[in-house]
Amino acid sequence: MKYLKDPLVAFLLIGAAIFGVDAWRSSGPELLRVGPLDIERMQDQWQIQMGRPPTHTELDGLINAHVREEILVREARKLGLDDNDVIIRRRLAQKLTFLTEDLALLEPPTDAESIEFFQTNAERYRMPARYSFSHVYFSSDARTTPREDATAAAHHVDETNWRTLGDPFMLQDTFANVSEADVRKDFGPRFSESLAKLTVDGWQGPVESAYGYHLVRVDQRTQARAPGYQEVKEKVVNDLDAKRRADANARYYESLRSRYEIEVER
Amino acid sequence: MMELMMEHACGSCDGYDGLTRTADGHESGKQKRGIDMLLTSLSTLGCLSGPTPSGRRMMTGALGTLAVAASFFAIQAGAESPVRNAYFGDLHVHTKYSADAYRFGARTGPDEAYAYAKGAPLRHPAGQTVRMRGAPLDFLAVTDHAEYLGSVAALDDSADPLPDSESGDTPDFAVEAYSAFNRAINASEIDPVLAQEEIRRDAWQRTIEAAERHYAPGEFTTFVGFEYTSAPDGMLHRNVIFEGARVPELPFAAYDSLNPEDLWAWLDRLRAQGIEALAIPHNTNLSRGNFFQTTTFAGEPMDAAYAQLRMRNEPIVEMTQVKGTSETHPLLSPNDEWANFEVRDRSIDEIKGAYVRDALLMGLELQHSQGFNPYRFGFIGSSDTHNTGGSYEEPTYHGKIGILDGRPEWRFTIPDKDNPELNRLPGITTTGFDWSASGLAAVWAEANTREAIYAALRRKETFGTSGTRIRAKFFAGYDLDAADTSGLYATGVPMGGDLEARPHGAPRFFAWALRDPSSAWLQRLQIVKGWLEDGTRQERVYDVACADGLEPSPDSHRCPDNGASVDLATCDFDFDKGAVELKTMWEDPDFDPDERAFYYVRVLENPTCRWSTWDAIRLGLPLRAEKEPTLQERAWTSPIWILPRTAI
Repeated sequence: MKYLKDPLVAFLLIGAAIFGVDAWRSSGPELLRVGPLDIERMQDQWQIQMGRPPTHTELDGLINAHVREEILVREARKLGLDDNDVIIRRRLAQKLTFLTEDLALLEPPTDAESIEFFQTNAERYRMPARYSFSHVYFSSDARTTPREDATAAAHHVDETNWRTLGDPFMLQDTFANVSEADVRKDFGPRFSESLAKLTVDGWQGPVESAYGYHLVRVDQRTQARAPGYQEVKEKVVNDLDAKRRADANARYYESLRSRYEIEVER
Repeated sequence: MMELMMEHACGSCDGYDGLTRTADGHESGKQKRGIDMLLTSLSTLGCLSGPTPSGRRMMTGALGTLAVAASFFAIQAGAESPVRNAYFGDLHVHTKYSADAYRFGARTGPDEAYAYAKGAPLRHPAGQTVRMRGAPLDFLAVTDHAEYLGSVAALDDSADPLPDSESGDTPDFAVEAYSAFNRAINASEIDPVLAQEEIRRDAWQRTIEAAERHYAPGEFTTFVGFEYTSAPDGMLHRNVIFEGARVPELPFAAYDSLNPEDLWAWLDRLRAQGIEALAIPHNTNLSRGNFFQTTTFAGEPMDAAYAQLRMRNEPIVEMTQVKGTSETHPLLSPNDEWANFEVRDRSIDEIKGAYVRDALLMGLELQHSQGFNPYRFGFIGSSDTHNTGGSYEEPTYHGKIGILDGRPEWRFTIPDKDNPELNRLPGITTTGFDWSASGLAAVWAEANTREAIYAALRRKETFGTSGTRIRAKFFAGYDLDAADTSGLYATGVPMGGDLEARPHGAPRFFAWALRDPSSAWLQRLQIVKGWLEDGTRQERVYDVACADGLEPSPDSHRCPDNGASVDLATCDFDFDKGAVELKTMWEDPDFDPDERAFYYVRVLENPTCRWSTWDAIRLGLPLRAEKEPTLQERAWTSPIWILPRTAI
């Protein structure tokens, strides 16, 4: 009876029951109901495509077309036209997939589930190291000896004069709370590796980059760290949803497959 | 009067960083040191005899105090100026949801596209695993074809092929669907099986969800997008990029209308509902000259309302990508020695109206004769990959169309219709040999967020590159001060903007380019000018800054050759030529305040191997004659327009 708790199985059983009742009372005229939701959908679709709501005549036309299609589809089914049609087979298989995925996401994950997911996948949510730093640039274009110039300037650079030293730099002179990845993008990997080794202790360097040499003052360094759950909750829930969707697909298919004995002849 | 701010290149380029070299790097390292020593002595002489370098280094001794005060002032001014960073991305990526990409073997979707852009490995349709060699991208949009979005991927079941009742054959579903896709984009023909709305809605929903899932404000920006693939007679393709997560229920497809004006009207209607988006033309080079016309789609005369409608919806153009670069063509710009960059071979009838410089000039003409300009757009590049992940670098080029050009031996073949390599896939005969490892979209934005990057696209503060990550700045103004680069926004207009001419004097143009940390050094900085002289279009390319201490000739406006070379046996290039950055404050020697004009910057790297040369080395084959073995990677900024003193 465990299966009855599975919402999908329940859904399919109810569907089968309705179908059965329908088939049983099929002697009289068949009911084809077009409800307000159907009509709203037709109106919305028209609005999107035409940029205005349909007129009464146009809406009647839409409803008639819908009714005609529905009748033809039902009659085609009764004639068994769907049995061996490949396109219909594929569509049916796909619709069932949509259905299982939607069911998987009917209820949001509980906090406990999310936290467990967060803990098992801690590495994925690790926050990169971040830096706040200022630098003075010594251009390898503009100078014969950029490294020596930077070394010389390192002896007298201080808070009052650093902006007057070195060469103009296209990107910023002061970076606030930038990630290691951003530093690598802006200055190249060599600079980013060197920066990781500097301490928060006044002006240091020269440090080599893709552009020349730099004196660097690291004002703040936040080490790479594991965040608390609340900090990344939204992302965790998102990721967990994606996983639940994939799991539901796999689980559902497995449950179906277990009912078959499969023979493959090569 | 020209004022050259670029400081002399007086040193060796020790800043080389991040590039993976070929196996004999050790040997070229030795060679490098030898050349370095020679160059150091030469450039020392150059520095001693050259003009006084300008900039902050002049401020010594007694001037020091003044300099402190000046820089303090600059900080104050800078506080009111926006601080903008360069972000690099790709706004044109196809996944398995595109009918053609699926046909070419793509089996990965939007999730994999975003993961690849962030640096993850990707399964290539040709079987190998690919990964970006350079830094991750800052932003990306998945732009699958709207026509039959997701349908082929959803309906294909290669184990259960569709029976063909006529012939008894069992043609592949994806092959049939590819033909149907082409009928849709060429003739608006709808295939009811592929057009099933539920499938398209599902694929669109997944596209939206993937963009939401991978958006990390401040770190990585995603945009929801799609491609509108109209191609009635040549490509009129556009990508639609949405500002936010509010998007319509379905994209607008070529079978909704082949007329791009209907796409713009649709975008206007969405905007009225609070859904903001823009359309980005691309492959104008393959439009058979139909992209930039002086008449409407129906062949009627344009009017001011048309120009406004077009500019409101299409502020930027993707002018470089894998299927070629659409800046200009040698037949259009015979005096531009760099016009032959990754252009496709076409007759002149198909070239006129297909390139952006031509269109910008046409815009000036229309403004002059009719009073409106439908072609006042900025530039970006992107890849147009159909492999879910773009191929932006020459050494690791992995093609565009999966199982057709994913391996060197497939794309390097001689274009001969009897060649079995070219007939591996029925009905498709392309070699991909003409194609390019290009390009990237770059923006100047305050932050790596949807709002900031989208706003940059809207104001055209953008540049395109051939795949390299050169950073380029470009400003124009009458009061620009090169020593105070933080005040440029206060005293000038950035790329993409308009500057009103003053009755007297000439504006200054400030151009500044910084090399890609992982690519070659810069060779020259150019300003391309287009203008009307007595109503007749003119264009000229000015070299405005040269590497290696060279100066542009005042007569020819060309830098002398800096002699940078490439070893075609190994693809090693000179480490001792070129500049880390090129910078200049320039005045147009031929400026006329009564003329309509636009100016844009083009930055060229030293030559490096084209991807086809890397392939030839790998395959052990001789180079083919159709393409130059090397190319100069480059960046193009959006133009700045000068509005003449005398309005029409």
